[in-house]
Amino acid sequence: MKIFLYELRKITLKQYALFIFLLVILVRLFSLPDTLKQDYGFYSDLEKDRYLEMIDAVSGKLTEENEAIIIGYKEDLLAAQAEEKRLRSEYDSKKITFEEFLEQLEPYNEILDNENIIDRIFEQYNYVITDRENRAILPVSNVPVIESSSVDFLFLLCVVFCCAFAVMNEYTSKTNIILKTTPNGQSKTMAVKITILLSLIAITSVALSLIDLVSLSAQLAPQYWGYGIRSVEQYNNSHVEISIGMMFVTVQLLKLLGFLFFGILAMITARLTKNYVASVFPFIAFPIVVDYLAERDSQGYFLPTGLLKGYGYFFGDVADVFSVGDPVVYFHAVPVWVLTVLIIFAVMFIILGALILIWADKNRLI
Amino acid sequence: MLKLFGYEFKKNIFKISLLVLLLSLCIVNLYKHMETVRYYGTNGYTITMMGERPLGENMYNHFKGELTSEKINDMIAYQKKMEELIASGKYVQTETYDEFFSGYLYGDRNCIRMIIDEEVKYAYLYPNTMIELRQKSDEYIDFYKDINPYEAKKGELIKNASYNRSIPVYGRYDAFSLFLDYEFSAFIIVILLIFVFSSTYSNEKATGTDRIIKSCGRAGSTFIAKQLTMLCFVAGTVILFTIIDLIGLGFYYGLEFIEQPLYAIQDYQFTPLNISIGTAVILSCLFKIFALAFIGEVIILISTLTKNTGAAIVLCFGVIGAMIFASPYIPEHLNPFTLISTKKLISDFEFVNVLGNPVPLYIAAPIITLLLTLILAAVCYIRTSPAKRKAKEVKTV
Repeated sequence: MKIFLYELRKITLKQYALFIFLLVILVRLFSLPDTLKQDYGFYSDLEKDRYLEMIDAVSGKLTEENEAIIIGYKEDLLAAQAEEKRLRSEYDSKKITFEEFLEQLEPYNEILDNENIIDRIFEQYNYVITDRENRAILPVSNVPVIESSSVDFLFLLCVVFCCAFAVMNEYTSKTNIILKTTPNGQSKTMAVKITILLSLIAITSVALSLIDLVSLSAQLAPQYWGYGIRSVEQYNNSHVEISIGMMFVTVQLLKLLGFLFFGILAMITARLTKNYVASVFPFIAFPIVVDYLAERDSQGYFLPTGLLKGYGYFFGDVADVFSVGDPVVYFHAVPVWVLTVLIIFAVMFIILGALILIWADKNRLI
Repeated sequence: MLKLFGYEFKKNIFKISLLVLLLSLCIVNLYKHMETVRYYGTNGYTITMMGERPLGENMYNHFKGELTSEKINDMIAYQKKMEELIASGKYVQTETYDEFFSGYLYGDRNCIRMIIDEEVKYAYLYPNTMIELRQKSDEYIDFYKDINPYEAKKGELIKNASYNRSIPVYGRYDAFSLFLDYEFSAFIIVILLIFVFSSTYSNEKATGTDRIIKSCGRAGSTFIAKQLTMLCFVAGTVILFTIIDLIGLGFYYGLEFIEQPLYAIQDYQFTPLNISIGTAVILSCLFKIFALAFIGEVIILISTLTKNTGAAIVLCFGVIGAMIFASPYIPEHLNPFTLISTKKLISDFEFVNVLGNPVPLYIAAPIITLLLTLILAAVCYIRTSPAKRKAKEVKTV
């Protein structure tokens, strides 16, 4: 317990890990207000509220009843537009006065005012009707927070640095020589170090996920999280059958796994090479190069760096179809088995890596 | 001095790890060329039909070169022939004929439509575009000459640049167009710079070598040696990657017609420069050297801040990442990153207002970047010079 408290103080305060991880959370918090804006594509709050009121009545799985309501809206709108056109031409040809025009248009004003709203609802309906089994009507077709597959490089920088620094510090200050003379060698200290660092990474990752959760609830109300991911346009041909909420949780766990993987990797390399350049540089440069190199396609998802990106594992194929020739596939969907293999590999690596780190520092003379 | 430079060069650059990293990044760069051609190159649909070589390859080889009225008449006649064959209804789409360049009637028809409508028309009618530009410039000058002399001067410069412009040949310039907008190799050089120079001062601090150097009175010459090493490394890698990029992209489209004017490339039709594509390639090299020397200086400065190499590497990535993130919010002429994409600098008439005079962006941006680099170098020198140490010692006494 004494070692734990000492190491906790050393890593969090003396080696600044606490401040570094707090900085990561703060930076994410600063970007939060931008992600909280949700106007559903309408300029006025009045229109937005009216839209939510109307779409709430038909949202969810497309039933015959909902379908009839949506088609009814559209038919009413088309009838109102036709009537407006007729009245306008009568007014233009001076068959009716302006007052008569206004008076006869009066019953259609409400539906004409809702033109944009009905068009949006009908757009959502058109999207759902092509695959009604797997799609549901949502108030939005795009939810940016669950569509972005970018890596949080700031967090990665901090993870790699803190993990490598915690191990390297023992060697640069020659403390490892003193620790080797103790009955437990360095193994106990190393076990404590690993526990503290992995816990810090996990806590920060959970905090970042909570911030993302706040963004998600602002962009898509929680009552819609139970519907399948294909209801969101980005996932229109996804091969994974999973709800929006479950996908969010899965992706957050994948990201956590990815950061833990890189943390252990940096620690092992630091232990083996005892060199900062070797234990920090590759684990920052490699994910950055892979991210830039495969910015549009899915190659990056076949490597452990893909775990840091998360959402891409649930994307379907993205292709341009031409009138002649084969379609050009820009993004190839990642098979589920690849993700399964990666998860098993990462978990095994983290466990074995931690055990090797502890075992390697054991005092074998006693 | 030369000895020190040689030593610094050997210490920082002659490393097997750097060679391995350089080679792997070169391979990665070649892969990125393929991706760039696939996503941003032209003739996308033809590539999918015929495998690696575009469908219009034979037709391009037949029509490329000097644009004569005979050649244009030939093209029009050939297009007419295609249309007549289609109208006759005798052609069966599934059959392949040797009489067509692409092997298919519709392939030839689509390709020739593309050539005539897009590229040949552009080249042939370019002088007319310039006449239109001069007319618009005249109107612009007339409108502004009494209200805003700066805008009138801008119009004058645009008008003067538009004289004596013509495109005498029809060619494919995709390799050059993609090269001038290609940023991945600069990104690779930034990574190499971090790898080589993030530890240049921090290592010396960690081992205490900096104190020995200072006590020997060689801090100044070591500083210059380090600066020269960085500049040589930047220049060397930029030239190396320029050659690799040209060969890599040229593999897909060819490197013919490099002597043609820059405005032969459609994206550069309003370029302020009357230079050849080859000169633009050299200019692009120079711009990149300016930008990367600035980044190199940032890295060396960060290296002087800490004796922990790990922290220096992380700071370098963090600071450069933050600079890239902030790039869209910084005016182009004040942003060294503008120099990495040559297209931004020379594809259009962009000016900076300097005391009421319009200075082209391609002149202003490198000068400002050079000044910023010198300022950073001065800060770096102050941080590493023994004068500061002496002053500190006096204070303590």
